[in-house]
Amino acid sequence: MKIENEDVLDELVICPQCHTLHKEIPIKDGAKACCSECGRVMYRYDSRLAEHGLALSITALIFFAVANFFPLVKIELLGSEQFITIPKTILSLFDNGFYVVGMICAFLIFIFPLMIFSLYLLIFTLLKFGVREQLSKELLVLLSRLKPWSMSDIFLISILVALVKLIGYAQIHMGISFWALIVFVLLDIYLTRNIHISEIWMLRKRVFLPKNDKEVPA
Amino acid sequence: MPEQLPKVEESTKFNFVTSIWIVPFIALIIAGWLAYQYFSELGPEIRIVFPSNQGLKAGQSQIKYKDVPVGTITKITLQKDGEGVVVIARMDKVAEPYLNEDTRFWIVKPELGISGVTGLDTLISGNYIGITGRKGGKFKNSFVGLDHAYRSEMKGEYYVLRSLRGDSSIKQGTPVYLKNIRVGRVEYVMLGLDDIFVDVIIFIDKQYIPYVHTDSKFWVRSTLDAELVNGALDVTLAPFIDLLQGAIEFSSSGYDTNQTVPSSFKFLLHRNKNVVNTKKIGHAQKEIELFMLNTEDSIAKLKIGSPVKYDGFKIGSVIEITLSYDKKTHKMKGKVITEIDTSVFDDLSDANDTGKENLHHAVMEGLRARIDTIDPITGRLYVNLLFTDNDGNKTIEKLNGQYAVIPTVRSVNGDMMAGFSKIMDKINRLPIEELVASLNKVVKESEKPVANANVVLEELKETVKNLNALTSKKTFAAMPDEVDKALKELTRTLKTTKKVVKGYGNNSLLNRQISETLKTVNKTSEEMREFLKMLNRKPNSLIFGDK
Amino acid sequence: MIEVNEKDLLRCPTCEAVNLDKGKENVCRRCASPIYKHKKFKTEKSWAYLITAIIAYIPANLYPMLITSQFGSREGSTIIGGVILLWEHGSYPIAAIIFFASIMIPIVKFLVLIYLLISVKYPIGKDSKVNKHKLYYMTEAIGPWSMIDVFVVAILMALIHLSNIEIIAGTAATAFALSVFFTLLAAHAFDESLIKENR
Repeated sequence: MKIENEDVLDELVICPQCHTLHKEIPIKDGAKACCSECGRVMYRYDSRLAEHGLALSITALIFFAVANFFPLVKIELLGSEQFITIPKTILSLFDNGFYVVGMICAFLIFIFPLMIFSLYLLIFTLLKFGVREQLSKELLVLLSRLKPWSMSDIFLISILVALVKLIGYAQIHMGISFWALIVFVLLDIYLTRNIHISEIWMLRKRVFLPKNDKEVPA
Repeated sequence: MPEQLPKVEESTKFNFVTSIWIVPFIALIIAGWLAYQYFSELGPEIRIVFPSNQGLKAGQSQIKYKDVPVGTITKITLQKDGEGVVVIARMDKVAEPYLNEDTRFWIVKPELGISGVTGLDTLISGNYIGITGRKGGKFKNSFVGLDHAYRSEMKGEYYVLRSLRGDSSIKQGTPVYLKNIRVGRVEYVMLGLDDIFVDVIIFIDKQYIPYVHTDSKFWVRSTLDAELVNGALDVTLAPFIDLLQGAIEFSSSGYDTNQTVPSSFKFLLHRNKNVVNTKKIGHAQKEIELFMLNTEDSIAKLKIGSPVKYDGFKIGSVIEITLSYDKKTHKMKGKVITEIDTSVFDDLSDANDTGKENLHHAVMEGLRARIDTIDPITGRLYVNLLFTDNDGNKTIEKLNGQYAVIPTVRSVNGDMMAGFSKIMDKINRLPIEELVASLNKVVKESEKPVANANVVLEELKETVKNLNALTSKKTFAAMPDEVDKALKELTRTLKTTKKVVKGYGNNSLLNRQISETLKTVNKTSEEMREFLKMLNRKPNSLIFGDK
Repeated sequence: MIEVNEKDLLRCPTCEAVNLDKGKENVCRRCASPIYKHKKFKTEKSWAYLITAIIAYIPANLYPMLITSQFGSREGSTIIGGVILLWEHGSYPIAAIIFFASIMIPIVKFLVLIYLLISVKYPIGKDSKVNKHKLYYMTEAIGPWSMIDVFVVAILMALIHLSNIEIIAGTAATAFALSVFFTLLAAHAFDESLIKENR
């Protein structure tokens, strides 16, 4: 096909699943654009994305803090009560000499989720106030890199699996952190799945567009 | 180039606009409320000093009040001077009013207590700190922990048990049983002030105190008990734990239930149950008195601890012996101090006089002390109280500042026993072995076969064997008679031997040996007969001990 | 005016922008992240990670995953051992789930990645019905879930930690964690656009 310049490519979208080429058409607020072949949601439009994103990030971080601070699960085993928190779980790995596993888990369920949401917070703040254009780009790239490595949701399911193994042996009580973690994971899913990176990029373009005439590739 | 158009789905979702900021707002409220809850429940931080850290873990071990957790240990460090361990703990708010001067902390771990093993739950949960206290009082946040488990509900009484000899199995922590139920434990074991006794201080649990009476008997449970019960031998082996830690048991006959035990009361700790069962003499209200005896008899084999007996029953023991040399008579005079339980002389049907008074009366009526022999083989002596033919009115003299003296009589038996011992010595010294050897030689070397020689030889050997058996036998009762018999037999055999040997010619050595031996045997036989005569005059046969 | 073939359009994995394949070094227009990073060693990184993951998977199954220590006596069980125990116990569904999740899925991931990697160089399965993109996507989506095993071990270890009864992870835990980690790295290192070649 013939295009004038590369900027036309901005109006194209490739489905992540089946790689079909589409034209990016503007849609209404709250509407979703789906792939014509496989039906996967490619992008959405939210006029107040920055605010929404900001609010959700803050909420998520609050719940993350709660989930890590309070007890996750309390069990009563042979008359003795024990509870764990997420930091305790990771520390117990280190205590027993499992440094490799400890490091891996520390990153996957604590450091990376924390970083991701902090990045969301930062990015949305920057975009809301329209400042630090270059920084926002770098942060966005970093965010994309980190996204696949946050496994809080998997950890949540692991808790349930672990509890299933203990059903006959001990009395189990879910702690506050468990519910906080659920909320956090829901927010995590919403933020990472439903809000596509491309939307944020598009938002960024819109925010910084008046300042630039065209995109400056690095 | 075909480019597709995406399918657009309109969204009918509610308008986020107004509501989106509510979400973080709610989150903040929830988190804030939770934080507030948490911090408001936090109690004060306290520090407790323990002599050592026994299985407590920082961040994990808890402080429990009657099994309910009220605090958690956050840090454990050494005391600055290294003399103890400092435990820093964060208490719950509910515990705050209990933290004052009266609060006590101790480490709960598995241990052997009064009512058996306590703290077993710590095997699962790990050791924890117990706390007890009462509400109110000035707040305190620095404590010194107890170094032993706190016996809060375990109130009870202390009692003193006295025994002549310490028993190595009785030590601190040894349990005290009543009818096989653990009711207390030994708290201290110490030497009596006079170095003669060993005092065992026991602690009895409050609920069992009514079972302790003045007539209660305490004894050491033996590891192995063998009793003849209805003709069958009943052997009981103490529970394994007894073997490790010993055990004291007691029983009460039910007498004197109304009397409370005075605090200075000293029970006697018997060596074993048999002593208690067989000798129900007197009651535990022991009125132990000290008496002295003066004697010139040989008391070389009278030892401290040797029994004082009356009518065959032990009523006391010797606690001190001093000897002094008498220039005039050239004899060693002995001063024997005994302790006697005068309560044995209590006449229950006559409450007017105490046992002590009865004893005094008895002495006036002829009761004397005499040093007798327990058995002739070892020659062990004991003090025997008995009525003798009246040798004048005597009383128990008590001079100021000295012991009360019970008058003594000479131990005739002592002489007799000495005499018997001498006889036995002589028999032992007979050169019988050499005699037999020589005879053997003669028979072998002889050419003339003498029919009788072998027979006689065998007989001699047999006699010798019997004699040897006798001197090592312990059935004293049969002794003098048997010895006499043996001596008679020996005499006969020797005479026969002499005759036989004569036929062998002039074996001067052998002859002489036989003659000598025969002479000695004859003399010994005579002495034996005298001895027997003397013996027969005394139908009591007190020499031969209890029947 | 540039002549552009649909085939030359690339999707930047980082920012989802559409880019033109300019040959050797492609840098995303929007986010400036490289696409087609190592053209020469297209699949080397992926292969390296994959092989490491497979190697790590062997001790993960030989050594015990969970060790229960009661009053000092230890008993360990491997993944396979655990499955067999559960099966013998009669808990067929749980045994099946664990077998599926801890053994089948990692192996399937290995196979899929090997297949995809081979298919980059050699035209196998060119006309197969299986959409390789879908395969890749599935591998990438399911991959992290294998971490459940590791998390469960960590949780149990932290939870059952009394003075005399405790659960300790075994060396298999480390090996398994590394295996999953490297499998994920292998999947990420595999540039999706490579599949395009043989589409």
